[in-house]
Amino acid sequence: MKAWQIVLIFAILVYGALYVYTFHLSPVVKERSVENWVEKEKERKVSFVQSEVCRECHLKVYRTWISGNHSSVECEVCHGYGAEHVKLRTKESVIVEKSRDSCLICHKEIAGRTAIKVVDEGHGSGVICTYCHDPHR
Amino acid sequence: MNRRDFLKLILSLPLASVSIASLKSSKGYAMIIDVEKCIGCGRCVIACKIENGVPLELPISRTWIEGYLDGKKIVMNTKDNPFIKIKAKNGFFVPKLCNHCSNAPCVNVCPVSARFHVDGIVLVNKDVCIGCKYCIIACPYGATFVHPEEKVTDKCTFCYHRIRRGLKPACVLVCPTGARKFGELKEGSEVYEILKSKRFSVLKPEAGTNPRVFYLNLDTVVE
Repeated sequence: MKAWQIVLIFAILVYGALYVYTFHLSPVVKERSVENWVEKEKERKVSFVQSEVCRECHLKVYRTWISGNHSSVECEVCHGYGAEHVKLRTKESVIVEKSRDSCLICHKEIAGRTAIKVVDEGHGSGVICTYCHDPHR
Repeated sequence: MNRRDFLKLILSLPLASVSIASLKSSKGYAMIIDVEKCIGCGRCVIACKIENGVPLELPISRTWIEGYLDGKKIVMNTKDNPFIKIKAKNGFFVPKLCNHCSNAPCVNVCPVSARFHVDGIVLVNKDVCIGCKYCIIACPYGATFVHPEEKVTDKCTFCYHRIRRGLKPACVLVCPTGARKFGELKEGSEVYEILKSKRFSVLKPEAGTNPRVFYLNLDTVVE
């Protein structure tokens, strides 16, 4: 074997080893791999728990809600995300809005709103909606 | 193996990998948005921002609503709802998000391979993303943005952390009229049955991206 052949084989070996290390074996690459990121993405914390979790404590309200007109509207649509409330279980960690505006976000009469019942602004003006309507029904 | 066969094999390798990738991505998750049911309340935008830690005040969002009121396009992508202040005669609302294309331009242009498909969902590996914004230019739907705190690109993940736990994506959960439907594209699932029986369309079919977000009752071409 000639000298240049040995040098070539050696060069290929060194190059190959470096290539494999930098792109496949090095800890930096492994830490940032796709599998690792998918794991990280899975572990992210959830803010919106679903109404089944609300049922655990608020069974009475849950039963009213599930049999009423608003049953397609999840608890957390109006009451805000539940993860904090589940942990703290205080009145401050959940939103209880009784203003007209909070109902009118969905029920105000605007163009293109055909899927639900809407009211114009004059309807019961000055009175809060919950005075006549039960929002859980 | 002679030289000709060897060259053929080498040339066919990338082609083979592409066809396997597209087969894999034909299954997986999909979302259906019924434009007629959308009332423009904007709950999905707020819920998405809270769930995924996107600042509420800034006009960037993983999902947003476009209101076409009297032919004028108005976008809701912050926590304030612009639609209820505007007096218009007619209009409709189109919720938008990342279309999770099977042939995704953002995956194709990423120079560091930070974007990839999992179960048909396009995810961003934020450890690898260098924030070069090529994907923002490549995306025909404008669904990608730079996260102001993380300084890397961010986009809808179909709430991957939620669906892996068996929960619905945040925007689907809070939609009060059920305008958004989400599920696995397999025989017998709700999404599959709807797509089989109803007339649907996708956004920008001319881009050739094979989106996974399908629209019902979208009779006008929207931008």
